[in-house]
Amino acid sequence: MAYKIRHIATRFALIFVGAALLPLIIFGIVSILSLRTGTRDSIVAGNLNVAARAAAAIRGYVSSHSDMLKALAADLQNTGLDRSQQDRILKNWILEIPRFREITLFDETRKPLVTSRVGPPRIMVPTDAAVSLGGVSMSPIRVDDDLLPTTVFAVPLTQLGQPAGWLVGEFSLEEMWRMVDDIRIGAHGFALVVAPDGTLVAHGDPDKKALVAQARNMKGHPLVDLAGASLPASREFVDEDGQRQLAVAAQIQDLGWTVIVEQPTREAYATATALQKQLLIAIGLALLLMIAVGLRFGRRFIAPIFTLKGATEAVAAGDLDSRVTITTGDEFTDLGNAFNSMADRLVELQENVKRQERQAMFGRIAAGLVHDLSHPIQNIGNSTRLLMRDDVDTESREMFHRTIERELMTLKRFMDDLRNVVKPKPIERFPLEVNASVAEIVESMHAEAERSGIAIETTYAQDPLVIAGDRFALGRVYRNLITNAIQATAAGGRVSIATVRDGDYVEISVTDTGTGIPADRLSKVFDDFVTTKRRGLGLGLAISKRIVEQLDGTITVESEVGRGTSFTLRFPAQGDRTTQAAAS
Amino acid sequence: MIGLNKTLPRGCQIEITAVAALLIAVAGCAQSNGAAPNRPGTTLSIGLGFGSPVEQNLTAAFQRVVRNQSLEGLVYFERDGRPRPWLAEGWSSSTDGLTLRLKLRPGVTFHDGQSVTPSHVRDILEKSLPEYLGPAFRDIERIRVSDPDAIEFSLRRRSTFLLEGLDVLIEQSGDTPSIGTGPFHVTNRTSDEVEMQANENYHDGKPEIDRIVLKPYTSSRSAWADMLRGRVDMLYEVGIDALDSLESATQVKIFAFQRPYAYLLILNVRKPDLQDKGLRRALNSAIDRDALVAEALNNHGTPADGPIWPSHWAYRPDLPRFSFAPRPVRPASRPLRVTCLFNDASHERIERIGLTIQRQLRAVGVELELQRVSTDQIFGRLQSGDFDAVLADAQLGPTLRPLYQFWHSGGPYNWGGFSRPEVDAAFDQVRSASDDSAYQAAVATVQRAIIDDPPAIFLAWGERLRAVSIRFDVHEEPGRDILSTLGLWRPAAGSQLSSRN
Repeated sequence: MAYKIRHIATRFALIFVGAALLPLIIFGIVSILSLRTGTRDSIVAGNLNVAARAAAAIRGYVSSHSDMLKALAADLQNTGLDRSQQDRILKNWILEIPRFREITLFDETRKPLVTSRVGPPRIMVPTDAAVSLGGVSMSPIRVDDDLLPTTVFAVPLTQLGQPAGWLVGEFSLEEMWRMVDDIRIGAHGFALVVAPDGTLVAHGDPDKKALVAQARNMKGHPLVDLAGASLPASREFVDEDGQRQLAVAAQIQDLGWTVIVEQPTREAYATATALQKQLLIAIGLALLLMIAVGLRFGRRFIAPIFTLKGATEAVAAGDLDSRVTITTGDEFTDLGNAFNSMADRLVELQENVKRQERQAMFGRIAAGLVHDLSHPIQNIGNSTRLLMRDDVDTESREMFHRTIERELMTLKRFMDDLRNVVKPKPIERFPLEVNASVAEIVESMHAEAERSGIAIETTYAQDPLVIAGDRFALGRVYRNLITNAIQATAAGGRVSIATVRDGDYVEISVTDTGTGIPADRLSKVFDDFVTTKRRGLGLGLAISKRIVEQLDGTITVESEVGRGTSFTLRFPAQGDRTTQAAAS
Repeated sequence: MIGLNKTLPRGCQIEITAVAALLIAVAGCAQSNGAAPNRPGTTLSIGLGFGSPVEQNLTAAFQRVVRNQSLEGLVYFERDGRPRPWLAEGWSSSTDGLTLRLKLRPGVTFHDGQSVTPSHVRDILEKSLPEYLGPAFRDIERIRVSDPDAIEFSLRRRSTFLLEGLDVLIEQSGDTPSIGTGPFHVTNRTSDEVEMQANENYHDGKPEIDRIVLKPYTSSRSAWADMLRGRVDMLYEVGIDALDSLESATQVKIFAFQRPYAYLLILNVRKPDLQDKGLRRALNSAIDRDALVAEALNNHGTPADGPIWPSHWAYRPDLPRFSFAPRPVRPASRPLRVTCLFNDASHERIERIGLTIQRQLRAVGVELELQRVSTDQIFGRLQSGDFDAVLADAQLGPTLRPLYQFWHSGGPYNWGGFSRPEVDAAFDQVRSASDDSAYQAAVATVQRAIIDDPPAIFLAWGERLRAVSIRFDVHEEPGRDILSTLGLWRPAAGSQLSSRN
């Protein structure tokens, strides 16, 4: 379900955040990537430099000693020394150059001739030499019983172009270990040296020297090239301790060894990571600042809207005096002024409407009064004038007299209606037999119906229908309904009055075959001063409804334009004993 | 190089590589006291790795560790040569110095459960002291049980060497060797390892280490590798050349201590060419000891410019000493030829020392012919006097007694036939010193006498390195071998040791 942001201030804040966040994120990503790449490149370059320098130093160290052995071989071969002199030279030599543990001169049959060692030599001409360094062959490195790495150099001797033996020297590579030990990158970055066959020959981590003693094969290391394939100079990998390492490698020329410098990435990238964190924090802070600014700016921006909204709601609630004061000087000020003008105009229009309504009401009331009063007054006037004539016989005089009394009664009822609108008359309840009360009113209305050419039909329930009612009040209701029906029905039409019992209720219906009431006005026919007639106050149905409801009854209307209208009164029926009492 | 405390005659504390083989029998005859119960506890694995010949050195080293942990003396000597009570709770001497009374520590039992009684001690001393004291044993007239907890020595004459000889190890007589009172005792011995268990009834309280396992390795390298793998807790010996590369290891701690052993060239003064004391002085002066320590010992040693252990309380630095002042003893064209034997089984370091002094002596007209011989040969030739010189690593401290054994005319190790009345008199002064000042004066006399008429070429005091895993808290005492405090070691806080081995 889509979330709808209802507040403009929030939208403003989000717009601000969005506008700021995107560039910030892009900036952050670019910065972090640049930082990481730059740091990595820088560290790789630095470590590669260290590895390359170590490789050069180790090569120099090894080759210088192999050169020394070569020079010694040349001296021994070319100076014509006897064996004892050679022996002395060799013994002095290993004291002078302690990195050589033993030097032995062999003849071409590999038989030892002279050795620096007291007693028989320990070393032999190596048969497993894997490296040739300027003509000096070199055996694989091993760790001796003093826990130090050693190798054996063999210088081939020739005489007149023919093989003449070997000068073989056991050489300690302790200094190489020192060189490797001295390489420390940060706190946990170390160097190691791997032989061409993958054997670890030196490790700068003091706690990993055991791997050297174990002659650990490093063929699993990503920078150890056993297959002769070209490998990258740097690589990140997870070591056997589960630690991610950044490793660089440099080859030692001629020896084929590889110097690898490893550093845990967490340490190598520590600075970059710290900067990265700082950058993220800065971006976060900037974001929060943007949100705060956005919210504040948004609130200030939409404050006039809130003002207008409040004023509009007040006007809608009827407070037409509500006005706004917006001084932003922009379109909102114009909008506020327009709102105020609109409110002023609304007040003016309302006053006009009220005035017009009052005028219309007054007109209708006046017209109704004229209509309702003019006829009885005219009848009274006519009858009075006729009474005053001398040629009127007694019978006629009696009739005129009755007419005057009747019309006076009509006027009285009219006045009662008006009074009842202003101050409703209390209803008195007595058991009332409906058929009789209806018949009485119908009887009184026959003359009027006949004058209008309307036939009145009555259908009364066979059994007496008793309700708790007020005879006079209900008589007024019947009369209103029958009068309205006669007035709404054209001559030749019919008005039907019926009474029935419907369970515990008594129903009285007045149905005409008149013009009917349009549907849109049907619901308002019971309102005060609403009428479908051209004249009249429109109080009849309103008063009728009020009387019916005071007697716990209901009044409903059904109508169809062109076919007629039917009003139905419905009252709770009284018990049998009450009925008998009412009938009696 | 591995030194031993055992040779012929038994009791002599000489550390000389040639005697290693003689201990094979001793080590080999040690029998198991039964398989070690497989119970949890703290185990210390000691790796002993040696080069060829493996068997001799290994057995000797095993025996050394076993004896040092299972046997104890009545007294022991501090680095300064002062005696301290051990199995003896204390001692007193009569004013005339002719009676020495030792009170034994109460409640001490042998590993086999027997109480250590004065009569036991008396019987053991009567057997072992003649060898251990040599001619000084003749000073003892009688050893008797004076009290239920004391023994008494009646002497014919004053003898400081008696007390200095009471560090002889008290070993229960019987078929089973190494039954003593020490903090550990052998419970199992196989070709692969020796197992020792903590002495539950040790008089100083049961050690916190429950078990010691001695593991042999064919090389120091393999022992070291196993240590760095965590399978071994201690290396019996680390080559001094490897110190630089091992010192930085975070899981291992290296302990170095100066041993009261000196590298020296024992001269056979019976040989005509070597009888002249002036020549022997010249030979001593031809040695550049500082250079020797630097070149041959990788600076892990101290120049030995005289016979006296320099840490001894009676040593006086103002006494005459040998200094490097080379002067020709023979013309180069007619050099003095001296054959120098050294043990074939010894460490390369000995050979390097030999080559170094060979070159230094050559500069003064001495042609030192180094000869590598087997252990049997070297002993045979020492016994028969068929040698010019022997390059050795001999115990010369921390007391004066070893010197007496070597260079008193009747000393059991006086293979070079050195017999000088002045020197014997000087030793007798030490022997009969009645107090510290007399003793110190006598020591000065010995120093002067030997500097004047040196029976050997003194070279350097050696140093030994041991490596221990940081999983153990090692009880260190200045200048003392950490193995001698093994009973006080404890697992380091937080370390997991149980059942690892």
